[in-house]
Amino acid sequence: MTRKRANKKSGNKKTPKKNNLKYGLILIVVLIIAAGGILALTSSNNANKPGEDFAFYDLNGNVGHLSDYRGKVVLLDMWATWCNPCRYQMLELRKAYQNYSHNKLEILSINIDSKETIQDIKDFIDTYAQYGYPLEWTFGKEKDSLDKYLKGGGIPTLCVFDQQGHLYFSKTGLTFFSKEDIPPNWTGDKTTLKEKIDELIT
Amino acid sequence: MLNAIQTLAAQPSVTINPTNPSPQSTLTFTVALSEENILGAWLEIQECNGNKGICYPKQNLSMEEKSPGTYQLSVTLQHSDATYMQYTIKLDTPNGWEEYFKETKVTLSQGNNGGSSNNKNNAPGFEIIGLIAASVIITMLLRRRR
Repeated sequence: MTRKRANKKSGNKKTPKKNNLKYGLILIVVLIIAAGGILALTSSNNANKPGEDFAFYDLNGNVGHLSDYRGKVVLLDMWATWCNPCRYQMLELRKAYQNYSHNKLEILSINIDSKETIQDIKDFIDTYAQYGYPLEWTFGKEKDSLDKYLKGGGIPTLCVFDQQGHLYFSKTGLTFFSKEDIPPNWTGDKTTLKEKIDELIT
Repeated sequence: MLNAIQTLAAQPSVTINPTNPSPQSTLTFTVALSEENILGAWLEIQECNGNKGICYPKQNLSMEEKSPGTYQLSVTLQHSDATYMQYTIKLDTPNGWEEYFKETKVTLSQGNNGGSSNNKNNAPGFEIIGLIAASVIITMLLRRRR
């Protein structure tokens, strides 16, 4: 009887610890749900936000805006003439431009080197044309700073904006058009332009 | 023929020390010129990662005239993940800018590099909640055992 009482007493002693554990777990679950809720709210607010915008100079010296292309998926390609991977990137962008309707997709190749001129860009495009690779999309020079899209400053950096101008995807480094274009020995990121465009253009 | 010899004579020579550089090493570029009427020499240098297909912003650096016809500059490479660099020597002449060794590629030895990366894309995010939750549970279990 005494032992039973003693057991009961020790059992009663354990109860607060058990309760602590229970309340702790409940608290964690509540925290996780709350964080999830905040995340969902943030993303739904983002959908209602107006799309992003920036200005650039086109090859005629006129000012263009990202917002001029609302309703289209926009590939923003940040590059410079001296950058070897950027040169290769042009060929991959060309495949994208050939594979989608221009009513649905636009490419903006914006040169981000302040020392390069519009004439440098025109010469660059001419060289491609001479080799049978005309680059027919929109080219330009940086007007508004694009630093916020340049992760770590490396180029080429590609950003994909959805039809409302929201940033959907961005990546620094050469991006191939499709899985078939990736060389077998490629060790870099294998995300392709095609898969990202297809997610936005059905 | 004479013109060709003059052109060759005008061609500067460049030496890089160390000859087999690695990422983040300090390089000394020395340019020797046979022409005397050079107003200045500049070094354009860019670092790239060929595995990822990335180039980092180009640096345009003024070289110091060490002696008549000899320009020198020490530069420290900045990117630990660079696999090659390219350089161009630009000379300021009375006739304007002249470029030499345009985009000459130098492969960077990876032997001394610990393989660290400047990749900052893996910033902690929502998964930190899981980490906190796991820490709390472990702490509680340990307390319970005591």
